[in-house]
Amino acid sequence: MSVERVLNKVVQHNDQILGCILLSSGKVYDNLPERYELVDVLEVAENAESIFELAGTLEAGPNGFDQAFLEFEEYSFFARTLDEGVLVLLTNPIERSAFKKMQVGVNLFMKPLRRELAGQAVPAAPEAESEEVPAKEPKEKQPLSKRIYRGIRY
Amino acid sequence: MEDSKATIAQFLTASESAELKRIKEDPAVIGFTLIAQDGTELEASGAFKDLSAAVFANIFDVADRMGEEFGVDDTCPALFLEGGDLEVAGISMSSARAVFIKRRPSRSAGDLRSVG
Repeated sequence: MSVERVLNKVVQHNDQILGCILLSSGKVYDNLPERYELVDVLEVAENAESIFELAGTLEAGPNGFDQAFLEFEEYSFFARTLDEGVLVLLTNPIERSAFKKMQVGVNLFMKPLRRELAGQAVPAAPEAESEEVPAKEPKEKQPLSKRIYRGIRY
Repeated sequence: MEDSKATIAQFLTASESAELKRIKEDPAVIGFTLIAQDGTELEASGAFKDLSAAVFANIFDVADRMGEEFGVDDTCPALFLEGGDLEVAGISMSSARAVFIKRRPSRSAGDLRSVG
């Protein structure tokens, strides 16, 4: 199973989940529906990463904040940090309490996902590499201080 | 103090003030921050009070940008963060954003209840 297949399984698992974006080791994977083909998935993933970086400045404790849920009128986002990167799920416009009920199912896929990501970290044989769909190249990442525009008082 | 209250009142409707007061009385709430839409801190108390206005103003901005990427023009109405034994709820109101920091019930507290 590849990273992409695990992500597809996450989406197929629950019809409230519309698609997902994963940023890991500078590579971004996504399986968003076609209508979102113009979405800059790297930007979305980096924004999710920024949320956790910002929350991290609060020094909330040993585990810090590792999950975020953003409700919009037309959809919601669930983002979580993994040791290997950040995962963003796009869902129908559900409330957080409704998402919590289906999150157990989503969590079932985290172990296989992490296993696949660990496999990706090992350089693949050239012939196997040619069959893989190339992941999108990351843009040069700006430091957090440049990506945010309201000063944080340290 | 009276000036500060008068300023905050400009940003909240009567029903929003009543709702915020009700939530703040929840014993699990350990921190509260009220931010104007432009990021100005209106009130901050409890956990992370020195940083929370700036941090959450930025987090709301980033959330808005995520929404914009998907074609949403308006602001993020609600966001939640979770980790360790803390959770945060950020809510957009008519002219301000409120952030509540809440301690989640610990497993040990549950264990104590079961003993009782």
